Amino acid sequence: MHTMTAPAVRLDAVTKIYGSGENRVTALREVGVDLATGTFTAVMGPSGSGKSTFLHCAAGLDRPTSGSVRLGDTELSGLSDNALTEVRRDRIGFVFQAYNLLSSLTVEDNVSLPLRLARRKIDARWIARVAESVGLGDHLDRRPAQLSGGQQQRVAIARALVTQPDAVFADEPTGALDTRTGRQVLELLRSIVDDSGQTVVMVTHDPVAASFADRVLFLADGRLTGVMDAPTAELVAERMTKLGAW
Amino acid sequence: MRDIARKTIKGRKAGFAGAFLAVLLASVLITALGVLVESGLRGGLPPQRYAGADVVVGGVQALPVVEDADLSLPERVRLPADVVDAVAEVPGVAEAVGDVGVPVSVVADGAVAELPRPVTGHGWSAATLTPFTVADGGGAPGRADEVALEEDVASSLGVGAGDRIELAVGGVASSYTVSGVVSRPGGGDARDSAVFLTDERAGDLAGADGRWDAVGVVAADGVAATDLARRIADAVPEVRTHTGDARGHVEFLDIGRARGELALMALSLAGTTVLIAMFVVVSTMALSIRQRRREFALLRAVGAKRRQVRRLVGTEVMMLASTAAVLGAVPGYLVGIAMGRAFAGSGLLPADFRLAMGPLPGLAAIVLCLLTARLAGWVAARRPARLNPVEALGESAVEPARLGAGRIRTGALLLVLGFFVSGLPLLVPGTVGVAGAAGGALLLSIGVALLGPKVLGAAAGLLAAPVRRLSPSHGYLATANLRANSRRLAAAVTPIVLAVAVVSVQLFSQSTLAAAAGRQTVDGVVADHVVTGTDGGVGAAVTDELRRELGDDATVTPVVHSQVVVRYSELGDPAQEMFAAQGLDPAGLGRTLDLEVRDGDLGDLGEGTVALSRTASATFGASVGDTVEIVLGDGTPIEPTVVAVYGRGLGFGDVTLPHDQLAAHTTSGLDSWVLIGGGDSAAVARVAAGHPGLVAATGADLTAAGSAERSAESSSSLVAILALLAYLAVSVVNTLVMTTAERTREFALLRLAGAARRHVLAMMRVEAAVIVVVSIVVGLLVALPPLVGVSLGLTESPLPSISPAGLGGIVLTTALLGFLATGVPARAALRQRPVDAIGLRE
Ligand SMILES: Nc1ncnc2c1ncn2[C@@H]1O[C@H](COP(=O)(O)OP(=O)(O)OP(=O)(O)O)[C@@H](O)[C@H]1O
Ligand SMILES: [Mg+2]
Repeated sequence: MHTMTAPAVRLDAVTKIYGSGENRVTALREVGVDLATGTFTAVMGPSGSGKSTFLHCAAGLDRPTSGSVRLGDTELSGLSDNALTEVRRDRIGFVFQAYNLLSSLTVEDNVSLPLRLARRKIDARWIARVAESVGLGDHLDRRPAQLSGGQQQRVAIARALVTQPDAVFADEPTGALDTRTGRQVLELLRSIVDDSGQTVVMVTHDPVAASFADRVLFLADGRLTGVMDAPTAELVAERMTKLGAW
Repeated sequence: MRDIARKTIKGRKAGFAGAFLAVLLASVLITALGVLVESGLRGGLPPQRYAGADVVVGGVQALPVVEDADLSLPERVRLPADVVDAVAEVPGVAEAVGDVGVPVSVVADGAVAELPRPVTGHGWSAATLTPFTVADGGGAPGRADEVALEEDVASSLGVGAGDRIELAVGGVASSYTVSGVVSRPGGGDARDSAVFLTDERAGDLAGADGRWDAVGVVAADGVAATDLARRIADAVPEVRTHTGDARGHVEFLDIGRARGELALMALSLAGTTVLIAMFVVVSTMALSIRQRRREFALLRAVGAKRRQVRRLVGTEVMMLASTAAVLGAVPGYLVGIAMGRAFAGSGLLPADFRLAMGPLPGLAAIVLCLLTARLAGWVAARRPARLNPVEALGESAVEPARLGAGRIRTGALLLVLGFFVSGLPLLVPGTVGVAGAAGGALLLSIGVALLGPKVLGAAAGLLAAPVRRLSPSHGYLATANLRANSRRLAAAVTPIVLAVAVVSVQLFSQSTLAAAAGRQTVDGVVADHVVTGTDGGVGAAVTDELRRELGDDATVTPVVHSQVVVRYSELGDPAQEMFAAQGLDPAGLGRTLDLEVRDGDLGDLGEGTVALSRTASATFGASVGDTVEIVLGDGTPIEPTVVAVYGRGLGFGDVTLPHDQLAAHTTSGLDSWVLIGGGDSAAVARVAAGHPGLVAATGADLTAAGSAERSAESSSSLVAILALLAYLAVSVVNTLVMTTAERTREFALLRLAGAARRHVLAMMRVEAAVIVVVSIVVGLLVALPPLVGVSLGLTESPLPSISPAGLGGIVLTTALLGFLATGVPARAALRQRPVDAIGLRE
């Protein structure tokens, strides 16, 4: 366990309820977890178990109905919309399953978008280096429509990394990719943790993908039902089968 | 932000095309109307007969501003006789000459001769103002029965010096000896042919009483016209001086009136247009922004603040709008010219009216479009800025049909306000109420637009069952689509509703007015015979002769028509407006004219009194016994007491004054009708036949003449709304194309699921049919309350008269536009291979 360093992200009794009345859905129930700095965490669970909701709450994209989310020293639940947006912009990177890019901007512009929004000076060499690190150094001038799905996902990762955030969140980043390109993306995420000590949280359905992580969280019906350290694909698959049986 | 905005526009040209077009067309239309407004203020016709005068001195032909525009007086404001001497004494004046004009008919063989141009008689001194020159062998008219003819008149008639001809004014003919033939320099382009009498004779025929229409001034050598004009204006009170092209304003009285009417019509139309353009631009912008929902959600997710999203939208909109507005201003001038031509064709403008072309309308259009776009951007950006990034990133791009509470409240408020305003004629009688009711259509349409998705969801729900019964397979899909995407449906329907409502109200309030006026004229004229003049009117001598010939058992009622300005207080503010007026004497009126008196006694009409129509009485707040402030057509103020209120104002005029009083203050002093009750028809016909240009008929024929005038009036306002209609039609097509084209992916999905092209097209046809039916029905429903209001105000009956042709036209046009604008882009979208279309990246 990584007890030495302070957690990068801490969730405490986080509950998320969608809708009201008869449409009421409790997507997360009292979820509490610490995600240590410099670790790679995978989140797994059956469809509808609340994985995406968990990720959105942890990343400050959505507000929990109750409970607290801390990013480093910052309590997210008390922040104004502007302050929360700034946190997302400067300290968090997010990769969605699809539709990650603005179609009218080039790769370079998409990657540098968070910097522009922060009105920071854009250092072309830095952008090039980030693009290089995801293997897209040659494609800076292309539009998203001219890239393959895997390449688009890697552009999204580059954009998530460009602000050197404390934590990167990815929701099924390999869901739409074949095994080989999926593997490239996963290796990329792994290397972020290993090389620059950033924290990565990833939702996935794939036990092989989960095996790239340091730790796997299992969700079922909105509850955190288990944790597995040093996962392997076999162990995860076994656990998942059980989860499904429950 | 500017950078991102620029790149987005470049990258999504197709998505912005609709909004671009909306602004561009708004700019075209506003520029065109601006040209008309400016022409109303500065346009006209350069002088022809006054071309040789450096300065032209005229009377004060307009009432000073009360609200927004000078009111141009309908009758000639003549100058006192001594003005000529006063002007001549001003240093720098080489020559000052008084001019008076009178339209005359040239008589050949007892009938009015057909000449290429209308003929006007003038005093011989005025010939120097052109200057006319006498051809060899002729001379100036020296005696009262001598006349000098302009070349073209002489050659058309085939007469020369020494021959005798007849000239008639108001049917009263006299014979003259031709003293010579005159010609103007350069031959030239003239709207009237001139004939010259002695100064005294011209004054008598014109009924000018020694006064002058205008005084032309020739400046001494080396004196600048503008300086001289200023000095004359300083030295002589109560006159206006004109130089350059403005001299034409004095020469052509109708141009001044046309300018006033043009400015008024263009201004009122411009108001509606700007409102509608704003509405169209805002809704088109909102539509194009809505189609990029996911993009904005992504921006929010990666750290764009609300303010930044708003600014991005604002910048995009402004970039787009500034280009579109500038590009639209240029063709706007051409459209302005085309509208000017159309106005001339419908009789609102003289055919030779010259439009004023300056940079101002274009600039104004650009500024207005930018302001509108700014507003549109602001409204359109509210939604994406408030987006919850997670919700919006969901797989489906379908938007929840939830409406903001503010929007619902505003929409409901507008509906209530629209109903209230439509009912205004019940509370506020007179023109204010009627104008208010007409405005109700706009409020109601915008209210419906705001509540659109709700209203339309309900309407589509109502239609769902019958549609499915008619067309089970496609109907099922179509109604499901309509219900799930009520917002998209609303975007398509609202401009059609607006178009149908605005056009219906305009068209049918005109037809209601025309029908009511026609009915009143038919019912009101109880006379057995009517004598009218084909050329200008009927002279007083004819009335005298009729009275002599018919004797005491017939009533002869000459009616003179003019327009008067009434000053009153409108909701507490001083207002002045022009009203149609008639002059008549009440003696024996029961046998000739029934104005349907409601209050007071028309028999009391005499010096210092007036009778008002019901509408006028309500508008001025003046009942029997009250006094009203009236300015007669030539600017003379009077303050008569109301002696009667009558019902048939639409058919005969809202203000009725004693005959001689009104006639004395018209330019020609001629009557337009002589109504005869009783008497021998053969005698009437005999008298008419003795006067060239006069026609004897029965009361029923009079109606035709009156309604012809009204239809000219309504056709020119039709021209005006036609431009507006075209704009609305384009924006309807625009939105329909936008909403259909965005569904490429959906069509592809349907086809991959096994639907053939024709299935998809059939589904779209059902959708289009629902859209067309819903918009026509809602549009007509929206038009109904204002129309009932207008009808109540104008005719006291709640039933507007709706012309079947107009209704059919509206329905057909709407249906055609609706089907074309959904069918064509749907076909285009289906031309793509479904596999490619489905892969279209967001
Ligand atoms: N916006 C929403 N409104 C209402 N209910 C929602 C909303 N978003 C999610 N839910 C519900 O919350 C629950 C958790 O959803 P969530 O998207 O977190 O599941 P997930 O674990 O990510 O599933 P998957 O593996 O299919 O992506 C589900 O039952 C879902 O129906
Ligand atoms: Mg999910």
